[in-house]
Amino acid sequence: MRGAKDALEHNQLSEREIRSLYERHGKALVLYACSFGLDFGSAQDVAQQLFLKLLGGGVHALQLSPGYLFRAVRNASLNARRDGAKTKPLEADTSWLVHREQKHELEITLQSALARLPEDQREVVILHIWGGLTLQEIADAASTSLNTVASRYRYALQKLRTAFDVGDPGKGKL
Amino acid sequence: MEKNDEQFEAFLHEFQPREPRPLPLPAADVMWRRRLLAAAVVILAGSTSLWFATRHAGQTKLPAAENSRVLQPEAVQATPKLSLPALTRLAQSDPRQFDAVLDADSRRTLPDFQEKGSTLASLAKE
Repeated sequence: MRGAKDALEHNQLSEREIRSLYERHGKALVLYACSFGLDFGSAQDVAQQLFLKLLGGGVHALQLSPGYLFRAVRNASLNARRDGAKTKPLEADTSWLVHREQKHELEITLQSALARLPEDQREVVILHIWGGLTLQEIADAASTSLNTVASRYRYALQKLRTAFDVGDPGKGKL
Repeated sequence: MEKNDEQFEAFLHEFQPREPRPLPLPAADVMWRRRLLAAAVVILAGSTSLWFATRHAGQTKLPAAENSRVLQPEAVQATPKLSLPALTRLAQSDPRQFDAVLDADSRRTLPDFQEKGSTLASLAKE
């Protein structure tokens, strides 16, 4: 009771709310951490350490936007990579993404294509498609302009589409 | 072109990131759970030993009763007995009464071989 009162007074999220945030964004955050070259286990560690820190308190509820979470994972992933966390070549067999019809060939093609993208373009695609952030939120999180983010996104989509060998998504491997 | 982008985005949405492992419980929760488990174990051990003790006491009630019966002669011994000079005088004055007193006294002090099932009774039969 006192804990809940303190949480309200300091405007902190409850444990349940933080766990629900993890359920909502955990997958995308781990994917995002993988995109910096961390292997899946290290990427999970990065995301979980962030949420355990949140559970420990000290972060104001208003700070906890999805943009904040992705920015925190980005920083932690870059630190982990610098500190020698287990990394894997981005085109390794372990897939970060699972196709809903279990088409492994498509999973490998997409992961390879994502791995070949420049880091800033890959980041925008992952945050927009799987992180659910708007281009504006990505621009805010990356401290860049909306136009820059939008053009990175367009280029990224073009390259991915080429990887699937389709100018028109109705053809080719799709 | 925009329509193509939308279709391609929809295609990309067919892929979902791999499910990560669930968020572990914070250390404080784990500590509480361990304490609760330890308390449950202590309570269980306590109640089990209490149950055993109660059960054992129930079983030992009968021997306790038997003990009191065995001790009965001692209780009888506590009743006033004739002293050696008094017994001597009784033997001289009334030998029958003397025999009766000795007989009664022996029943109180010596093991009873007339009791059914007693070891002395079975030895006496042989």
